[in-house]
Order: sequence, then C-alpha cells, then structure tokens
Amino acid sequence: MRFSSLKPWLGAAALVAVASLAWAQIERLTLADLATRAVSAVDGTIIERKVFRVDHPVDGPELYFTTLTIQGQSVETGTALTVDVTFPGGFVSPTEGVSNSEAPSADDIRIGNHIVAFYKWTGNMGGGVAANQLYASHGGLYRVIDTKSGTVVQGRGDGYAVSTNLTTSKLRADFVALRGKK
Amino acid sequence: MNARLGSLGFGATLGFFASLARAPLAASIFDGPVTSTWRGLIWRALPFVAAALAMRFASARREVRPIVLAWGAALGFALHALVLSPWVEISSTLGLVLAFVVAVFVAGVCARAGGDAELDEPPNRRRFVGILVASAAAVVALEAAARPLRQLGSTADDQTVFGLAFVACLAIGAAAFAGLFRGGVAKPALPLLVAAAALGVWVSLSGISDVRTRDGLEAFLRTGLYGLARLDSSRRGMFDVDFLIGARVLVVPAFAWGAALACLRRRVDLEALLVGAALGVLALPLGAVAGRPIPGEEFAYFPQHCVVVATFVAALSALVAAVETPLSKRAVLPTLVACGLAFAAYRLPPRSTVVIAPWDRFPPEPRLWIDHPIGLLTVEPTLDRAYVVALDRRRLTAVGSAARAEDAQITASWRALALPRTGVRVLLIGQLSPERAHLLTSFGATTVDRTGAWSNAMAALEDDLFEGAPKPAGEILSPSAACSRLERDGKKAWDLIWMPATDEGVFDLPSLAEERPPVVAWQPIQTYLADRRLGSADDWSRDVLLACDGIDRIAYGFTDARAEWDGAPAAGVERFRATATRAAPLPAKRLGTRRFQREFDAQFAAMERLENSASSADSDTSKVAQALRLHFAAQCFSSPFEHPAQQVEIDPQTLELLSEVALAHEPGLFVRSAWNCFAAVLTEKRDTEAVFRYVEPVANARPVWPALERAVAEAYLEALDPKTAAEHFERARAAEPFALDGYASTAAALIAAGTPERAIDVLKKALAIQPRRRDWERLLAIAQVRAGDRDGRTLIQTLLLEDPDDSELLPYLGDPPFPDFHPPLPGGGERHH
Repeated sequence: MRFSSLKPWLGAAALVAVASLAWAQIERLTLADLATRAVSAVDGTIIERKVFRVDHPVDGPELYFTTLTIQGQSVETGTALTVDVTFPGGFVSPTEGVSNSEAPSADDIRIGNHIVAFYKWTGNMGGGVAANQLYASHGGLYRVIDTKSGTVVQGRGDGYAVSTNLTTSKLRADFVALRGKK
Repeated sequence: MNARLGSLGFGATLGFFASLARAPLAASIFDGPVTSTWRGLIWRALPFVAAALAMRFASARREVRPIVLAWGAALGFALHALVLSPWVEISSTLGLVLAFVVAVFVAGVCARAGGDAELDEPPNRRRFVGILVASAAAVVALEAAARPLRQLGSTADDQTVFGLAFVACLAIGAAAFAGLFRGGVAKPALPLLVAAAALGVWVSLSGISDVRTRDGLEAFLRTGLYGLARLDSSRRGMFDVDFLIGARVLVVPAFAWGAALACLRRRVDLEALLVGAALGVLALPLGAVAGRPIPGEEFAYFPQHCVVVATFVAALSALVAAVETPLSKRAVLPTLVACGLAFAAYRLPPRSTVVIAPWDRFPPEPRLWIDHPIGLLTVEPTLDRAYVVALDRRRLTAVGSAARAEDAQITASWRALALPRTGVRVLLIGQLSPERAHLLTSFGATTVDRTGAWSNAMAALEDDLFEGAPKPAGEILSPSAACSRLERDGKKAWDLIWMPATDEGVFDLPSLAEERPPVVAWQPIQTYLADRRLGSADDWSRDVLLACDGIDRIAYGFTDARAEWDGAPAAGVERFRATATRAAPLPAKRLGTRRFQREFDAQFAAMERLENSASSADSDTSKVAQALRLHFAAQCFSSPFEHPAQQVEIDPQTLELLSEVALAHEPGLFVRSAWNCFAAVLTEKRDTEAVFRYVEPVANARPVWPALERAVAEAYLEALDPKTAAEHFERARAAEPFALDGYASTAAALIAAGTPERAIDVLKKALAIQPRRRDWERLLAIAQVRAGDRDGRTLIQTLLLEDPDDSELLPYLGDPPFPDFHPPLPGGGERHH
C-alpha cells in the first residue's frame, strides 16, 4: 500500500550521489546500445532475492543493495546459466533500507518471476561492492509472460532497450545479430 | 489511608475520569460524525465537577498533598488513555451518569483520607470567587491554544497525546516549582500563578506560530530532542511527534498550573480551582464566533485577543483573591505582579496561529474561515482545483476519487432500499456540496434537507460552495429540529437518512425508534471499526453494506432498515453481518505505529470482523469477506516511487475466492465493483497471467461486463494476439458506447491485427461524437494509410504541420512497407520516464 515518508526521498538523494561512482543509473537506450556495450543478458527465473547493507568509510553508511539470483540461460549463447545480478536499493527489514526511484518494482522482482535481465560486471557499484550490476536499473530488467503462442518479453515503452512486447526468440535473435555487428 | 495516598487516589480518579469523559461522536445521529458543542463541553466539564463535589463532601480541614495529587492525575490519565480505553469507555448518557457517580464516590473516599491540616484562618468567600474566576479565565485562555493545536492533530489519538503532554508537564511543574513557593508566599502566589498560566498561553501561541509552516515544523521535529532522536513529519500522529508538539505548545501554561497546584494548602482553594475549571470549559463557546465567516487575517490573531482578555480577567480576579487587606504593605507585591501580568498581556507582540496542514507540500489556502465552537470550518481548494469543506483538517465533503466513492455508497444505498428514481426526500446528515447535490438529484432526490452539529454555519458554507448555482429544494435543520420532525412524522419524515463517510470519525450510533425511515451511515474502513458495538442491541451491525471505489477505499454502510428488508432480499446488493467484534489494539501500541500501518490494521480488522460474523448459510458473503481479509493481510508498505497499482499487493487466494463467487451466482453490486478494481489493478500491473487465469473466466461466464472485457483485451495485446484483443474491446464498446476511450483501444488493436479498414469505421464513429481529437485523428491517419486510403496521407500532412516533432508519422508519408504498429502499453508504458 501507499507509503509517505521523507526517508525514501533522502535515501534516493543519497543514492544519486553514490550512483555517480558507477554509470548513469538510467539512460535512454536501444537494444543495439546494450548489445554493443559488452552487456550480458540472461533469460531465466528469479530463484532468490537478498538485500544487504554496506557501511563504507568513503561512500557513507547505510548503502543497501539487492541481489537477484537468476537461473536460466544466456540470451546470447543459450547455455545454462545461474547468475547473481545486483542493483542499488532494498530493505533488510520493514524499517531498515531505502527505496530507489530507479530500481525495478516489487512486482518485477518477485521470486518465481520469469525475466530477461541485462547486466555488466563492475568493480565498484558504490561502497566497494563488486558485482554484476543490473544495467540501467529497471531499464535492464524485463518480465516474461507465458502465452498460448510462446513466451513474450514485456517492453517498457519508448526510450527503453525493449520498448515493445516481443517474443523471447525474437529478442534473442535480435540481440545476437546486433552483438555480431559489434 | 494517609493523606499522601488519599491525594494520589484523588488525582488519579480525576485524571482517569478526564480521559474517560470523552463525548462519543454522533451520540445523537443528527449531529453527524462530530460531537455537538454543548454535549462535548458538558462531558469535558464533568470530571472537574465530580472532583469539586468530592472535595465538598470531605472536611475542609483535611490535608492536601498537591504534588502527589498532580502526579496522580497524570498517572490516572495515562492509565486510561494508553491502556484501558479499549475496555473502559462511555458511549451513552447513562454511562456518563454512572461514571460520574462512581468518580464522586471514589474521589470522595480519597478526599476524606489523611489527618487534619492546620488552618490559620477561616476560608473567605472573596478569595474563593477570585480563584474561581481566575481559574475559569485561565481555562478559556488555554482553549485559545488548544484550538489551533487541534489543527496539528485532530484525531482522538492526537488529542489524547496532547492531553498527556499537558498533564505530564503539569505534574513536573508542580514538583519543580514547589520549592519556590513555601510558607506564607504560597497563599497569595496561587491565584497569581493561575493568572500567569493564562498569560503563559502567549508562549503557546508563539510555539504554534513556530511550527505552523512546513519548514518550521520539520526544523522543530529534527532538533526538538536535541539530537537524541531525529523525528520528522512522516511520524505525524505517532506518540513521539504528538507528545513533542504538545509539550512544546503547552509547557509554559502547564508549568504555571503545576506551580499553582504546588501552592495549594487548603481544600477550599482546590475546590475553587476545580469549579472554575468547569465553568471555564462551559464558557468556551464565548471564545468562538459561531456560524459567521471571518476573514483569515482576523482569525489568525483571534486567539491572541482571547489570551489578552482572559489574562486581564484572571489578573484582576487573582488580585482580588490574593490581597486580603487592600492598601496594606502586603498588598503591594501581589498588586504589582497582577498589574505586570495584565500589562504584559497588553504589550506582548501578536502571534499568528493559522495552521493549515504544514506537513503537506502544498498546503491549501482557505477562502472561507468559520471559527465554530465544534472546531475550525474552512472552505479550501484541493490540488485538482475543487473546493472542500474541512473541520479541523477533516474533510466533510468529497471531491475526486472520494466523490466517486460516495457515488458507490449512494448506489448501494438506493438499490438496497429499492428507492424510486424520482420524488425521494432525503435527510443528509452532513454538509451539502454541489457534488452531493448533483449525486442525490441524479438518483431521484427531490428534496435534500440537511443537518449536523454545525447547522448554524451550513448556510454560509453552502453559499460559498455553490457560488450562486441553484441548490436542491430542502432546508437546513438543527439536530434538535430534525429529531423533532422524526418523532412527529416517523416514517413519513423522509425516505432516506444518509450519513456519508468522512475522513475520520469512528462513531457510535444510537438505537432509533421503530417508526423511522431507513438510515444508512457510512464509515470508511481505514478508521478502526472492528471493536465498535453500535446501538444498544448492536442492531446496526446486522445489516452492513459495502461500497468501494478503488480497492483501498471501502466503506461500511451501517444500515437500519429492517422493516423494509425483513423477508425480502436486497436486489443485487450484498448485505453483510458485522456482529463479531474484536478487541481494539492497545492505544500505546497503536500510537507507536505509523498512520499508514494503522490504516492497514484497520482495514484488515474490518474484514476479519465481517468474516467472523458471516453466517455459514451464506457462503458468498463469507467468501467475499475472507477474500478481502486475505487481501488486506497481504498489504505492506511500498516504495513511493511505484505507481498506485504497483503499490497494491495481490494475493492469488483473494482472486480465487472472488472468482468462485462471481462464477457461482450473478455477482452483486459490491463484487462487481471489487472485480472492476482488481481488473484495473492487474492491467496496470501488467500481470497478464493473473488476468488470463482469474479475470477471463469470469468475463466469459458473465457477458456484458465491460471492465473485465477491457482487462482481458489488454492482456491479449500484451500476449501479441491483437485479433482476440480487438474482439474483447468490441464487446466492451458495445456495452458502453459512450465510453469514448474504448474507441481508440479498439482501433489500435484492429490496426495491429492487420484490419485497418475496421479501425477506420470505429474511429470515424468516435470522431463524429467528439471531433478534432488529435490522438484519434492520428490513429485514423495511420489506419487510412495502411488501408491504402489517400485521405490518410492528407491527414498525416495536416497533423505534421500542427506538430512537426511527431516523428512516428513520418514513415507514413512514404511507401509501404510501413513499420510494425504497436498499440500503446497499458498505462502508456513506464511512469518513470
């Protein structure tokens, strides 16, 4: 339900400051942009979700990160893959944590969700956290739905790498083709 | 029992009864969801009267221990307010009388305890009257701060904490300042300290002035505990913030009162203080300008005028009480002090005390102010430029989504009671507004009488709201006049008595006479209802309607219409039983949770009450209650960056149960509304799997259900099946031909399905109804070009001339093949960007 507090706004402001250490958290992208930026992609199911806190001497205390464990296959190669993907934000308890304006929504990261996630390894996401970072925050995560005619990736609209709905097979084919042109 | 214990018990009884004697809202149903002026004042004055009576029955020679008495009052107040209030409460006049008698008895027993004090002289009448008047004036002054303080928290919980802050400061003041007023100083000091308490209210007004803006309030909360705990306005309504604000505002007068109490040496003085306090409470309406609008600038400084006048009266009375022999040496100092107090009141700089929602980013600026004895009435704008009436920050009228919720309430009431579509006479217990007038007349009301505890201000409020527009026929009745008419005419007085839901206000509903029209009183379930037993025989809980607009805006409709309903089912409107109450949470625990969590708890408890009350014979209402309980049990706080639908948690079992109900029988009004809400939420969440699993079977089983058809259509669009989507959109459009947005959705699906010719037909029909809608013309142009219609290119060129940046149209100026057409995503895609 709705929540009204200044704390998430303050938390968001802190995250903006932290985010300056990594890439821009959200940017206007196409699939070609993702394909050419050495970004990896996984098509799988969220099997675990963890939130952890980091207190860093330089970047500051109370930095929260969420890690999703995704089990599936690589979009590019089709090989089996289980990967941890991390993004800023999350709550370790109902009262301890921070909401991030660019993070995927709670609906997006439910355990059991079938998703496609784009990620890239970074040595420091902020707070010294080295991980596979979800590329472009929620712009790097797309839900997949099962339909009578196969699985469909739900696009997010204009400005996103996957702007409209398309089948996972088409997404895979497009991504591979674009990656081949790199 | 020794004197110390006796004083402790006396104070505890007084404090306990002061917390207990809180007049219930709508004690007379015609007052509306507020407490009428005189009923509230009499209830507030009675604890002081009880204590004074108890004191009168004790010997005047009995010793008083004032500090212990003050602490006893604080403890007694806290014990009831924070712990015992769910179990010990008064909801009727008879209950109040019984409580009064018990309080007098217990306080009397305590007052008779202890040994005899030494009396240096007999008590005199002049001192008694002087202290009495000073006490009354100081209470009137205190109310000048209490009224603006109420704007910072007007719920019962807020008032409880403010009261606790006052008694705590009073007890601390009594202990802290007792050492300053020993021996012979205490006697003249007592009335002068009472007068100082009146003047001290100016400091309270200064405190209010400091926190009445957003920046001021936030700065105060962050630094108020000297860095020990950083508070902020998001904790509004919680114990720590309310206590801090209450203490900041009331500390000086509370300390002065405490110091005055510490000077008590004789019971007759205490009796004078208590009687004066009771009279002061009853004199409070003198401090308000009832019924008449006043300019905001005048209102801003009105409390200060009250403080000045009250301090003058208190200082003069204190001088009369303090000086035994005028023109003697001993009279000099008290005279100087009293004159100093009066002069200070006259010279102190003015303080504006207008408080309008400092926690809001955009506080409204009222255009009408009425300082009524029941509270501050304002007419103020909302963010979407409508105007509402508020009473101490509680909205009494509804606009926007709240108005749609009232539409649902009236629909349920009208259909449940099978009222005709014309000639209905309504008594509205509440404020008439243009929205309510339109709503009632559209349903068939020909006269709308209205009543409420603020009836003498209703004409001014209506004149402002209607701004010259005609009002429905009907008259404004005082609650007593409405009651008289009901007693005189019985069922012929009106066809419907309606009390709409308001923001706050859990109230008790009295039992009504048998011969009366049907009554429906609505309460939102965000207020804690689960423990309320309504009516002497809980007769209001036997038939409860539900209405909703949005799954988080459900209201109970307590209905008393047995004569109309006995033996006949309410046509298509579900009726629930709500007789199984449950214990309310401890106030101390409730005050430790945030307001949104309290709403979650209240909503869950309200549904659990319905579930526990459901009869096994009626499985449908039982399942609906269970489904809603599960739904509210699943709610938790969400990121403020998610859009509203994302912030709703959906329990699959809720949808499963509602499916069973909708598939088993023709769903009633509430189940239809609930399904409409869930279908819209699932579409906004883009949870297509849930739509296919739960919504589609119901849509297929219950044809002509446009909201479900639209949800299923959107799901098929997401699933890249625009052909099936178009079929569902067409069904929805056929059922609601004047829901114009359905035309664009249908056309978009038809274009995506490769049938642009059919899309052209649909869009031309839409444009015939509402010409020159650019979004429809755009779609039409795309459809025409795809269908090979030359008019399409001309239209494209016209549209590009109007908006050259519309780059999506550029390919349609060229030759086929054209880019794939993608219908818009539900909600237009991500809201973030």
